[in-house]
Amino acid sequence: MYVICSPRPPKPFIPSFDQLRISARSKDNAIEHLLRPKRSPLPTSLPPEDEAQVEAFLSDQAFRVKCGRETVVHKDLQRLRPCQWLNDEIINFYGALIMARWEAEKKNRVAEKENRKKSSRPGHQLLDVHYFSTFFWTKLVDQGYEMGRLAKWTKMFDIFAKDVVVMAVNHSNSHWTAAAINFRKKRFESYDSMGFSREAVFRYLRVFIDTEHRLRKKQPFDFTGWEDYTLSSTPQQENGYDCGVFTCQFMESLSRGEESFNFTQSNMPYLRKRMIWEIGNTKLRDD
Amino acid sequence: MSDQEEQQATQDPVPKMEDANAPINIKVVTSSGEEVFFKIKRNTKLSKLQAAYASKVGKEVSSIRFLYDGNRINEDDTPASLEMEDNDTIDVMVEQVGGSA
Repeated sequence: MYVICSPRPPKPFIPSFDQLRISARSKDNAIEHLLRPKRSPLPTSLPPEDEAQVEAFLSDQAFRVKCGRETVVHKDLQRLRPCQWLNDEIINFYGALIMARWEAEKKNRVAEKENRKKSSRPGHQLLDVHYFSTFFWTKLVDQGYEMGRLAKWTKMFDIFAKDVVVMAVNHSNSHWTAAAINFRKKRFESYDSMGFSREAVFRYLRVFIDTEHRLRKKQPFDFTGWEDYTLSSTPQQENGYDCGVFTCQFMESLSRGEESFNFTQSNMPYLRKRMIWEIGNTKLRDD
Repeated sequence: MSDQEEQQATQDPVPKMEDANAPINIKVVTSSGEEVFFKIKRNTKLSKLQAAYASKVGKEVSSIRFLYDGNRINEDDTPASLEMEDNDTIDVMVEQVGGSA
């Protein structure tokens, strides 16, 4: 007869169902985080001194700022107060800010190349972007490429050398959506905070790019590999007035090469204030 | 500088000085295709043309936008500063708004 005097072996670990579930979830989260690093959520307010500045901009009767050829005055700025519809002035000014940010970054990159310096400035992910004003779409649809003389709009640059072209589309003077021609991903893109599929956007953009290509490159545009694209998880508005803010934010994210958006309806009050600050200071925030 | 001006410059430099402010014809076109013609000196501010157009069509200047080659025309622009040529076209657009479908 043997007597076991050594200590009892430890009990084998048999995890409970709950423990298994928790560990599986944490593994899923780790994988998810690796695949899609989470951006920090947007705050609900600007730093106090910036909030004060926003109030000062709003109450300044003589408010007037310029960026490129775009101007925003007091009357336009009021449209960024809660619940107001945005107009072309606000949206085109925001487009000008997006373009100005890229122009500044382009200069930075040239300077860096000369200094042979590698940088991790926040600007390093910015795309070579062109913004078409809100009137581009109107002219394209109302008059077409020739009658609307749209060739003049692109005579100063090669649109086919851009990473992405973004624009705001006005629908029946009651709704704004964002559209893009994404040369890197070969996509015609439409982003609508009301969730409609905008077939007309794809149709007109395809005609435009083909006509432009025939004029500049003397041959039809090669649509091989190009798709019409809309993001199924496009953030949606839950009211009848925020679409202009969504549209501006879609375009801003696209100009940084984002594949998804880090804002929802709940961020709109903050984003309206942020846009007032950005317009008043004629620069986009990088926080 | 237009071809015409260049030609004159090679022929005789004196008329060029006179021509610098010679009036040119400018067409203002809406996106539905309606046209209004103006004759304006090359150094006259286009804001004058904008005001004249607005009163002609009975609209406030602040509700309409003037574009040249897709670019917004600013207060101080003149045909000369924008290098406009005779019979050039300005697009006139109306204010756009939107909130929901």
